[in-house]
Amino acid sequence: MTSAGQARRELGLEARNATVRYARITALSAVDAAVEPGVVLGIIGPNGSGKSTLIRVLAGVRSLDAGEVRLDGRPLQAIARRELGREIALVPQETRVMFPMRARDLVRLGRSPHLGPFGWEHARDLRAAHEAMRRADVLELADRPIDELSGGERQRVVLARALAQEPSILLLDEPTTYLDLRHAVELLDLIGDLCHTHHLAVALVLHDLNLAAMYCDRLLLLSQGRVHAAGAPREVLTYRDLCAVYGTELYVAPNDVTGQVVVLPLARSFRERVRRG
Amino acid sequence: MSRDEAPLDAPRAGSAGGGHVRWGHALAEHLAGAAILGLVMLGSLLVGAVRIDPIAALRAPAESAAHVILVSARLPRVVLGALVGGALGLSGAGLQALLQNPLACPHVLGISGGAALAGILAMIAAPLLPLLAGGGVKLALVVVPVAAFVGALGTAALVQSVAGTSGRLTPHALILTGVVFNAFAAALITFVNSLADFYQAQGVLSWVIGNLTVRGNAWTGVVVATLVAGLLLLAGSARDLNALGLGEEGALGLGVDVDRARRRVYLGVALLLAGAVPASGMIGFVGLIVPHVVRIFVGSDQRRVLPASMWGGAAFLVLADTIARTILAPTELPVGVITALAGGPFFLVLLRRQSRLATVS
Repeated sequence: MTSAGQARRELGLEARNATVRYARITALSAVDAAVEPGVVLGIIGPNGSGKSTLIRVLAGVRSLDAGEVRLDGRPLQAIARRELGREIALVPQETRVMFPMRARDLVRLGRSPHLGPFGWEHARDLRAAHEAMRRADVLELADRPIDELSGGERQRVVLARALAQEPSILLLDEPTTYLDLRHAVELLDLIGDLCHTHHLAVALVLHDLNLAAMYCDRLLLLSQGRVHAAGAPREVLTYRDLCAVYGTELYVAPNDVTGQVVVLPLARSFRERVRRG
Repeated sequence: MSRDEAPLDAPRAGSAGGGHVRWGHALAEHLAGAAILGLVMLGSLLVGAVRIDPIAALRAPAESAAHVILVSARLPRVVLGALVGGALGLSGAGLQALLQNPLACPHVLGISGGAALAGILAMIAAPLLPLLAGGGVKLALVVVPVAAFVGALGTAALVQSVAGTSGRLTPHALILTGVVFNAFAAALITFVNSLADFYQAQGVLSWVIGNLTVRGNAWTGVVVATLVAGLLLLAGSARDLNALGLGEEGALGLGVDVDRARRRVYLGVALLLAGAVPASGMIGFVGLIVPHVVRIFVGSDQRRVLPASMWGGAAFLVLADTIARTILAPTELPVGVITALAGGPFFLVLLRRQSRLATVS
């Protein structure tokens, strides 16, 4: 690693040689990844390639078997859990709650790492939660029970909870999985705005390669726990790499509207036609 | 961001009311809880096998029957009931929040059984050990609660090892472990009982079905000390327990040291039982019922549920003991009979609701 590269990565989250083994399989194998302020990093790859494991490792909720993760240059293990909660916010794939709760209460849980042990809130905490709800555009949902919200509404409330932590790093695990097209692009628009205007460091796992092409500044393509390719979307989303990693014939070409890559999976009949040339 | 300009006049933070808790709210809620408990205790003092005019009794000479009944018999018992009930309600609320399991309470999980078993063994063993033999009651005041504490903590470790492997989504496995452990503890207690001499056997039986016969002010004092310590530990975990509502990873992501939070809650519960079980035996279901009733009134925010469950548990047990004292007067029932009669059906209703929820999610 060059010294210029190290200087550039001093702020933000960086995984080096990250390795995670489950009982039989190696979920992550010597992965390097950097989450930097003002940059949206997309983590892509087929099922079981280690995307979710990587995002959980970056968030510090899964420990490493080898390698390390550094936050602003400090190893994660050296940082108190509460301090991590003030720096890194994780939006999981799905949020379930045991006891009924209103959207406002869920967002206020985001203040946890800022509160004392008895959990008493100060005016500052209420302001921060309010500001987070304003940014995620969920103020009008504040008094609704979260189990009555639609998938898109709930995901925005969970995002507000993450923003209430006032993190410098925002990590999201497939935030658009349960969302329709409109809600998906609206959520990603919002995340992109937060990243670029508020200089948040963002990493997100995405299944949809077209959304990844459109919204991410950098991409990390994982395959069987290893980094297959990393860089700008144009460099990573290539016909050769994608077909190899996903193991199927794909249509990959720039689109007319944005000039970005469009990836289209092909049904068997088309795959055979392509193979025959 | 154009959405920010939505015609929503942003209310001043906090002015919308609702779920926030500052220390002032906490104080107010403690005062309200204390007031409710005070009324229940006052009512309980006035009811009993013998009808007493309280003002006349207090004015009467200290050796008069009315004075003795009110001040020396009823008052200590009502106070003990409030303390033990508070400890049980609080520990139930803490366990339900920690395990994310609405069926959890120290009795159902077998933690009370563990405390009772160890406490009984200590009580019987203490006079037999030459080193400890001379100490008498004073020594028992230390040895028995310490043993109960160790027994509770050991059972909690067992519960956690089951919860750790089966996860929070299979609450029934956890409850089954508790049931099995309770049966195991009961068998051992019966075994010990048949070994003990007659005088001690009476003592053993009073542990099995809990009752509030006062064993002396010193024992009540132990309950006060453990209740204060337990309240500080559990209420001091309220923030972490709220975060655990999002599951273990959710809590980790919110900066909660989950292992530490867990240890703190089990330590608090074991302390509470170390005072309550030696003083009153195994009184079941208070810790199960009370937090559910409390949540109807204060919602599911643990900062409210924990203190309210303490006050609610106290009031509930005083009430139950009043019924136990009066329903068959002059015969007194052990209060554990009343709480079990109320708790059994309650548990079944919860179990049904829980099964329905489990299939939905």
